[in-house]
Amino acid sequence: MTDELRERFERLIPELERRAGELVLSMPEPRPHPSELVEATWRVVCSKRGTEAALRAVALRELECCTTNLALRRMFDAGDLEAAFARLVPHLRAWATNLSRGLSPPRPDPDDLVQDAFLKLRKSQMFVVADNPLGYAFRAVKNLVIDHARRKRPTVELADRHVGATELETSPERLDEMLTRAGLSAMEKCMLSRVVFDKLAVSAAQRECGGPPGAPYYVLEKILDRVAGSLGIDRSRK
Amino acid sequence: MTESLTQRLLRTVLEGDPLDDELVNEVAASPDAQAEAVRLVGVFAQLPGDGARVAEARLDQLLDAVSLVAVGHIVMSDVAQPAK
Repeated sequence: MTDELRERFERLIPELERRAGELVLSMPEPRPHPSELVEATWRVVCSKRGTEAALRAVALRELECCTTNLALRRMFDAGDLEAAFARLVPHLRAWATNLSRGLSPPRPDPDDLVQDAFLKLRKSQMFVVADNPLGYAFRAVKNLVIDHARRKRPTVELADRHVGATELETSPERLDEMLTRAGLSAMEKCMLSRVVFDKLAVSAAQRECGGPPGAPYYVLEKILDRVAGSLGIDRSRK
Repeated sequence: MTESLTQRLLRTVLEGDPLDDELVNEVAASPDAQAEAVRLVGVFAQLPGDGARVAEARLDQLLDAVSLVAVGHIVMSDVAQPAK
């Protein structure tokens, strides 16, 4: 399989070397030879599964990433972290924008997420020695967004008082009340509870709770949509 | 009936199957899918129970894999449309 992939990759080399030739022009001296970037691209491409079907697109993307990673490592070697951050800003902002759309309002500003990521990266000893600093920085932004998604646990307003997630954890009655407020039927409440409390398989939970046969994940999606709606975590409309 | 992306995400995180490259690539290529994965983390985070914690952790793991692929898509699109 690797031999065949290499053969197909070699047919792309003239196009990749042309693009690499353009990319190195934006790099400081000493510039790498375009073939070095293409070889670095091959090492990434052949390490990834599932690239055979879209080899050209993957190779072109990885060439851009290899070039950016090399430029970043040069900046680290020169001790110029600010230049590295400046190069990362547009990419990280786009990534932060995509991910933060999944958060409940009020959503953090993507620029603030990027700045927070830089604060973490500045303290990280791994970042400046990483083979793939781009990927490392993307994960830093992703972790911040996930922290937001987890931290933002709005209390659930019940008839008598606010109830936090910790209490819901230990109080099935409170969970039941919350799910009732989300408009779930007895079958839907049973199904969701069996999945999240007991880790029961979705299809088994549907069957056990007397749901109609078939499409268990369709049913679960609709249940979660209603819970999300009651918590103000609707799908973003951009 | 064709499964929606949300249903595929739920199946992947709740059934404990190995992460599927096809799904990782699909999410990495789609800003809507990335937002949906984050939204599901937020929904499970509000729910009690070990099953919800496992789903949260698996979505995080999926987004880790997606991060490394999404890099390429975003860098390419920034090249095509340089930031002003």
